[in-house]
Amino acid sequence: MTPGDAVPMAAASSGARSTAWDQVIFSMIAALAVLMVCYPVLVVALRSISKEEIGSSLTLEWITAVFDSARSREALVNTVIYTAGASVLAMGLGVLLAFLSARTDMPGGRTIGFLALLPMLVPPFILVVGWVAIADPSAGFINILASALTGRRTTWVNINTMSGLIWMTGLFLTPYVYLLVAAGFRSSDSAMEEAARVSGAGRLRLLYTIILPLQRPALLAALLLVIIMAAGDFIIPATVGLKAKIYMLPSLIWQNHSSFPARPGLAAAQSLLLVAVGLLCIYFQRRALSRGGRYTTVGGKGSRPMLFPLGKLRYPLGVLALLFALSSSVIPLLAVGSMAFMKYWSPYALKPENLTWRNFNYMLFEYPQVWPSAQHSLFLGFTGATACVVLAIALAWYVIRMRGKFAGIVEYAMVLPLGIPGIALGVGILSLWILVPGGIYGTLWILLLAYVTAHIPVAMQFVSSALHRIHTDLEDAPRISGQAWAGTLWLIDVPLMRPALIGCWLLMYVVILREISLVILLYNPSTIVLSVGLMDVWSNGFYPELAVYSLLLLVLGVVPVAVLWKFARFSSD
Amino acid sequence: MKTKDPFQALTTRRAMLQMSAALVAGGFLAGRPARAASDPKVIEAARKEGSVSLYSSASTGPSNATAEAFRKKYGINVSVYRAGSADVATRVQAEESAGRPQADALIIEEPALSLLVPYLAGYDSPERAAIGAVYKTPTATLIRMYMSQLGWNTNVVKGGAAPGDWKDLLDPKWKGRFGSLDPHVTATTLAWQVMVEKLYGPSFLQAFGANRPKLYASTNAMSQAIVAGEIDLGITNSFGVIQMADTGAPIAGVVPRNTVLFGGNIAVFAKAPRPNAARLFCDFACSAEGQTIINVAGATIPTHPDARAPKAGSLAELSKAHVFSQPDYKKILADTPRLLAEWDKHVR
Repeated sequence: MTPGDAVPMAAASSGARSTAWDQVIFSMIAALAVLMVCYPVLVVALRSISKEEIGSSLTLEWITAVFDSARSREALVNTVIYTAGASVLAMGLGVLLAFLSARTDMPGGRTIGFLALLPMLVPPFILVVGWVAIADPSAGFINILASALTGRRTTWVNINTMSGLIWMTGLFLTPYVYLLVAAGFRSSDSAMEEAARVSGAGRLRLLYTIILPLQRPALLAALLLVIIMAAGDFIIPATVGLKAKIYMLPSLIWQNHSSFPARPGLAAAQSLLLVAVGLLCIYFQRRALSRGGRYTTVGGKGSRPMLFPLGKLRYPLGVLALLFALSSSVIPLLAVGSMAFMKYWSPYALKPENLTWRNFNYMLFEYPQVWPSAQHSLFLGFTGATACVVLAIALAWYVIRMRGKFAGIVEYAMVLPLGIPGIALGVGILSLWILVPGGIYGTLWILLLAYVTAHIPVAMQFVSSALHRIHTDLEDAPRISGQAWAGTLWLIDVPLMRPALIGCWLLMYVVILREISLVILLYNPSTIVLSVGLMDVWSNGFYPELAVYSLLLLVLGVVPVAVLWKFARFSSD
Repeated sequence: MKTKDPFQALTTRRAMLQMSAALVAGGFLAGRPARAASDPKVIEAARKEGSVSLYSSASTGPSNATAEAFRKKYGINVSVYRAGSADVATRVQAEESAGRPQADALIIEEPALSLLVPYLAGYDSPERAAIGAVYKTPTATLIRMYMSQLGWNTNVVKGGAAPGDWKDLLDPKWKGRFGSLDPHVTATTLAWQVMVEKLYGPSFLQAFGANRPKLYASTNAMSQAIVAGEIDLGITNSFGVIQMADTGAPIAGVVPRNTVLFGGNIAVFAKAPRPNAARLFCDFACSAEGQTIINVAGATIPTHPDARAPKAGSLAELSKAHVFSQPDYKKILADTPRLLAEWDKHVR
């Protein structure tokens, strides 16, 4: 059963009117997209059952090795705890912030919404550096303050713990939830809420019976993303997790890839476990969406979502939300910002004599290729984000509106890359395109392809959850007046989905800008991108230079966000 | 050898890069009598090939300084692909197995080098004559060396409290206050593990684990953690301490009498698309001039007797006070499961 069955009448009527050409074109796009994501995954799958390189004798040794040592079992248990904790935190905070800023009269909702997005614009490991500067047991500002107050070595907070890891990852993922859910809250139809209110439902009841259930596609999409992203991200497990001796699945995958002797077979088998988690999540998402009835909340009647009056709580909640937004983004960024001006980084060294502009000078003017790589990154950011959004619209249309023959396959396929670590995805893409003589190997296009392959799952979740909310009646008008599918999409769906599409584009742009492990095998000296330099500086371990690089990425990321923010926000008016 | 030096306030890592460029521009080395020279025919053919593609796991500073100096000297452009040694190895293997080799020359450490030997050309550069036999194999030449050492935060560890040898790490006063690399992540740590086992017996690792080291993924990350005050001291490496101290950071260190010697190799690919440029680049990287540049920029130690990198010192001087062990990576790789099991038993 496809999610399209959730709205059987509407889908059937629009499906019937699609011309054969629509079907052919969209099916071809869908088939190419499935090929694009499946090839690298197939490479990983084959590697996990091959003794040596692909083509050597088959074995189950890697698959069984995922579960057979105490070390990997411990890592699996840790990963489950960590994923559950971070997902709950990100969902709780993201939904709450989205609701407060989009659907209540809380003061400063707009600013808070913007602040909540900031962590997304910063490469995750610089956020880690920021949090270590704040909450390391010895070198964190909070504990330095505690020790100064008590007169002896005192630890109030410790980032090197499971709760510290969950805290960082939860905050890091909150913007994803916020972006997905806020778009839904903003474009929801007030008619049902009116009806409930007229029949005497209180505010809380309204929230639980109407508002949240109607956002089910967005909530499920957000949940799916945070679960897979928490389970698959390696930066936090590989840095703070290592220090705390808390091993997790992504850190084992990373180790099996990059240590000697490398065990790519085992890494591949462990990646497949993440893929399986992704497929399972998609299965439950599809079931939940197919059972729940209709979610089409943007109907034909003009409506403007009602704002919940918070009453006495208006200002206290505003202050609390602001405090949270500050502590999740501004404070770690301040820590990072202060590093950028220092000769070396130590919280004890924050003195005027240690300040310098030299890091800026070095990174911006002396560091080789910083400007060519900025150009390449901007080009890839713009084209990659646009390609992801356009492809996601086409695929979501095929799956949800056309209910194409292979809709199920497309939906499952489009979640696969989420489970594959960047470096493995890079190997898959490399091993295909290197075989094509001439081809795109060594050009910017292979990087573009890699970005689209890696990030299409996230884009697909954004666009699908937005398309689910649009009533097909709206699409009938242009169809009746003779518009083809493209006209309908362009005239009706794209404008109605605009908040979600802009949010999605921004997210794609930012993640492409900071993506590292995926491109490290695919770039060439003539196609170098900013994140390669970031990787260099990171591995050199000089935090002040890393901080400058991160500020550069932050600026490049903030500009389009600031420009587009207003459109993402008010388009439902 | 204490690595803090009186010039540190005046010099910085960037200044070292500039200095290496100045050495070339001023013809400082060019004026010295050359002990060896590249074959003029190779130079001419290399110029015709026009460029050279270098795959390097040395960090950006030394990689680019060498590339730039080579370009200035011969007018041949070097395009540098830089990545971690595991990534470089993966890329080379993928390109070779697809029959599409792209790279001409290689700068890489062990154990990644061992994986790539099948793709390398045997090339006895004329510049290798001056380099000691222990630094050469038929396919590769060590050109930049560094050692495992102890480093500490000078604001916390003062005067007589500083450790002098590996076994000082077992002192209970450092319990939970020192850092180590995780051998699951870095194979070089296994070489250190083998050395201390040989020196102090198997009980060392047990006592080491009981003193609860914090684990880091790279020596650079650890040097930064020492400076930030996350840990008081750690097992780091010589160039990390030198470069960090050059920024004015409160770090100093000591190289224990027995230590492990690591190094970066230069090699030429057998199927190099520009074989002459590859050879010429290899000659340059092996030469006193090339080694001076790469080692000054990276704070590492040259293997050519005439190359000078004052901050890191010379192997001839250092070996008077130290016993270096050069790891046998073939043996270590074969022994990895046992070594890691022991590590997990005691340290985790």
